[in-house]
Amino acid sequence: MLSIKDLHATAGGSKVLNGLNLEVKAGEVHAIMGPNGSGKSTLSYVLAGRPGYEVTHGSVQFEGQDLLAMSPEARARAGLFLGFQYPVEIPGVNNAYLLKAALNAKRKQHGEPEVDAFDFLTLVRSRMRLMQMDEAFLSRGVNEGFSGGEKKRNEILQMLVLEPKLALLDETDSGLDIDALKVVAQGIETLRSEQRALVLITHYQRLLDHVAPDFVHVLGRGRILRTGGRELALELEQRGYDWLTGQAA
Amino acid sequence: MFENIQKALAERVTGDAALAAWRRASLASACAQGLPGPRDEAWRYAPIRGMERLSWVPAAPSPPASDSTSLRELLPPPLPGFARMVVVNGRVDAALSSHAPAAASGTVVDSLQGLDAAAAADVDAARALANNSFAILGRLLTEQPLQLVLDSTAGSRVQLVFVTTAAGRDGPSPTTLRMTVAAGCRAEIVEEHLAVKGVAAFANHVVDTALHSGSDLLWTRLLVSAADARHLETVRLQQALNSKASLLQIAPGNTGLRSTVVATLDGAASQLQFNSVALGDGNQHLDQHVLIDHRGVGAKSTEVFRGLAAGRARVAFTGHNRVMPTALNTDTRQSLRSLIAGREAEAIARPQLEILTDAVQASHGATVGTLDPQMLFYLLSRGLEPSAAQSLLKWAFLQDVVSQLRPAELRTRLEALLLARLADPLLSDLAP
Repeated sequence: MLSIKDLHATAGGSKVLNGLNLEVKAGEVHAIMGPNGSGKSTLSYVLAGRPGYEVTHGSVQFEGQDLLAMSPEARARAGLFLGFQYPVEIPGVNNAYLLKAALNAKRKQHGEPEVDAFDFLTLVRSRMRLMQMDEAFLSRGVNEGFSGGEKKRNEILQMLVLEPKLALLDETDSGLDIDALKVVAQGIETLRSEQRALVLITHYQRLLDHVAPDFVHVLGRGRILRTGGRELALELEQRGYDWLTGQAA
Repeated sequence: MFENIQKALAERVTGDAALAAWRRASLASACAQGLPGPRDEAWRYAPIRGMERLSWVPAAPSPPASDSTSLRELLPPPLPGFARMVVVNGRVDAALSSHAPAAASGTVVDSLQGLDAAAAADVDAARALANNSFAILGRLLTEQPLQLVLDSTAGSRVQLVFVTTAAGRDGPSPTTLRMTVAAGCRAEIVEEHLAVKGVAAFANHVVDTALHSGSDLLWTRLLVSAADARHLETVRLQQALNSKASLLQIAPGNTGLRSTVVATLDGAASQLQFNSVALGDGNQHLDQHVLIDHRGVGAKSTEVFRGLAAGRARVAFTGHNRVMPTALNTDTRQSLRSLIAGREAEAIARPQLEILTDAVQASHGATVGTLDPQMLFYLLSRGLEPSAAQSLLKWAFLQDVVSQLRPAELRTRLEALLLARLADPLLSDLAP
């Protein structure tokens, strides 16, 4: 589904990714861990097409297409979803409107008619129940005045409505209390299927207690330093990152 | 130009000696100071170039237009529960107006030929307009000044529609309105300005409004004109003890707009909420200059402006908040934000705080910028087209003000109008 080869990228003129390679197949869940500044968020932004992040070398194929040649909106419509580490607040645009517009953009891409208002509400309400969100959030501005945890739930709600092929979740677990973490993890698990893939970017093992990854990668100095199974995350929890980043140095 | 005006007025300065004297004095004052120009700080961004070359002789009114199909099509639908007064080229059109609902609720709607006589005795009004020759000329040249007395404690609701069908090449069509909200009364005014397309209409509108003690006014002003029209206006609002006013201006764009607003919070504990939205596109040039003068103890004001400049438009707003030594414990807040949505567009947001007392709470903020790139990327990352995402953010930018529009019928209509201006089919979903 996703094939990253020798990816080099800069952000604000600084080299951040230095020859990153990663293969993600349908049905897999990958966790990317690493210390601050290792390039985790940069990777997610580069894949989502955020302006200001320049790819200087390498390639990324998504479902057989050159992802880097696509606009951000085309990437989203092709089935790539980025769950933001810091979801932006957009006062004046309500959640329901954004969800519907995003869903219709995807449906248009697939040659489907716009979603019926009743079907849309039925879908959104079922997903909100899953995320334990009050329906009042639908009429509020996107993330406006939301707590940190509510913003993260809202990201997962969007993901569940859009049902992407590949979800990149950038530190979705940060800032969540124990109960909220379980709810968010449950939402992520709901999307897990043989047809989809998940990439979880995280600092901590605790999310992986709820969403078991097939692969754990450690990112350092802009490339994958080590790949292992779930046990690697447990080892990182015990030993930290220094023993890996030190080796890389 | 003043020779032309003197000649035009000569025929009108008859009858009452005091009135004639006042008109001569006013004209002399206007002659002495001439017209303001770009070198005057308060008029720096106003679209007033070439005004001195106009003859300033009012355009001849069109023939009675009540039965004109194009005029009827131009008029907004009546608002339920509102009396309606339609003024075409400065004259009330009785056939298009309906006074009945207002009369039922105790409102008096009348035209007043002798308004100038009242104005002559109004020292405050003369002082407020002394530095504004456009306002003086507007008052002098108006043939049929209008007066509204709103004196119902149960609430008066009036829809005022001003239509200009006359060509503006020789000078603006003047209208003068005096409104009074009686003590303890509530009133809701919707004031709309329209112009026939294709004639390059030009209006010069002067409004004097007095709120007596304990009165409450919700005043929505829609400065819509045809895209080729110009609109010049002076709005004066004077508030007495414990009065409350909410003034909301929407300027969706025309060739040129200068709106001068002077609000004086004379009375103790008087309150003013001033909201304004301006959308400029193409070569449009929209300028608003608002002075809120706090004079009474415990006066409170909030000012919110949202401006959007696209194409090669210039959208300017100056918010001058003055707190006089008498206005102890004033609370004044100001939020001016402008968005530049075109490479050649220009947006100006100027906050001016002048505080002449110590016991005051004042806050102000002014920003001019482009669409937030983080917000834009967020929407793109959800699959929205760039044009749709930009339109959506522009719409969101205006919501602070637009969401406060009342009544619902008016909000629905104006939202549709603004959405059309933002011109993206995706946003049609947003209309209620």
